[in-house]
Amino acid sequence: MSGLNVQMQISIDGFVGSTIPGSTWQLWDWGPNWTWSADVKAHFNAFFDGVRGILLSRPMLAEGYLDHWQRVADQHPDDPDYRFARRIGEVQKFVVSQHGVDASWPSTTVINAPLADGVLQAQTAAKGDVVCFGGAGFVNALLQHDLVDELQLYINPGVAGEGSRIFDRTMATENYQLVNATSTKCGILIGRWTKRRQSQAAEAGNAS
Amino acid sequence: MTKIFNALATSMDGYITRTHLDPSQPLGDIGSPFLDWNKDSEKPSNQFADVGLCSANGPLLSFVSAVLTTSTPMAHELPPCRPEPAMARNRPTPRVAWTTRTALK
Repeated sequence: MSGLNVQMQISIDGFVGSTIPGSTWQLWDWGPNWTWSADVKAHFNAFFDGVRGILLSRPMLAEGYLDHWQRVADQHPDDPDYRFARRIGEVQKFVVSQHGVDASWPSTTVINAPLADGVLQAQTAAKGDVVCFGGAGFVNALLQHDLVDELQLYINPGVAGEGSRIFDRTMATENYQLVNATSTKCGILIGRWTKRRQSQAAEAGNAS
Repeated sequence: MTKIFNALATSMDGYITRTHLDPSQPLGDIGSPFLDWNKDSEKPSNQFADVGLCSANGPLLSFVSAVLTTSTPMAHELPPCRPEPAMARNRPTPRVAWTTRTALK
C-alpha cells in the first residue's frame, strides 16, 4: 500500500511561513541561492528518488510550481544536486479539488472529488509513495482528515516569530511517533514522524 | 568563558506548555497529552529514577542533567551536532544542539 508523505520546511518555533517582514527563518527559500549543506541536498534528492507521485494544491499549480522547477531542471541538466527538479517533471502529479477545476497542467491528473477520496485515488494511480507539497492550509486539511502517513519536517534553525502553521488547536490531543531524526551540517534537523494511533499509544503504555 | 545554554522540551508545533499556567498546573491546562512522549519508557533516564525516555531523548536529558549536577560544570561543553565516532561511543550525545548565531560569533 502506498503512503502519503508530507514534506515541509518549518521554523524552530513551529511556523511554516513568517508574516514578519525580512524574516530569515528559512535557510533556503526555494530560490537560486541554495544554501543547504551537501548532506541535506543528498537527503532531499534521495527522498525524491523513491517518490512515485506528487500531490499538489491547486494554488501551487496556479502559481507556476511546475514551470518554476522545469526551468530549474533545464538550467542544471547534469547537476546531481538538482536531480529532484528533473524528477518533479518526470513523475505523475495530482491535484484534488472539490470545486470543479477545469484547468490542465503537464503530466498532472486533476481529481475532482472530496479530499479523502481524491487522495486515495491519487495513491492508487501512483502505485507507490506520494509526496505532498502545499501551503499551510492544504497540509492542515490533510492532517485534519487524517490522510498523512508520514510527516517529514525540515526544521530550520531560524525563528519565524509569527505566521502560518500546519497544526491547530483541534489537534492538541494528537501524538506522533518519531521514525527517524537526522542532524545536518547547515543546522537543519530532518525529522520523520508517523501519526501515533490510539492502539500504538496503548501498546506503549502497556510496555512501560 | 562561561556558556549559558537552554534545554527545553517543546511540542512539534513549537510550544513549551499549554495555556493557563499556575503552580498546581505547571504545564498549563490538563486535558491534552502534552509531553507524554517523555513517558515512552524505551530507555530509563540515568539521572531521574521515575522518568523513562524514548531512546532519542534519554541521552539528551542525561547529558543536560550531568552538566547541571557536576561540581565542575565549566568543564562541560555541549558536543557538536556531528560528534566524531569516539565521542559518540564514550558518552551520551544529544541529537540536537542548536546555538544562536549570535552565540557562535
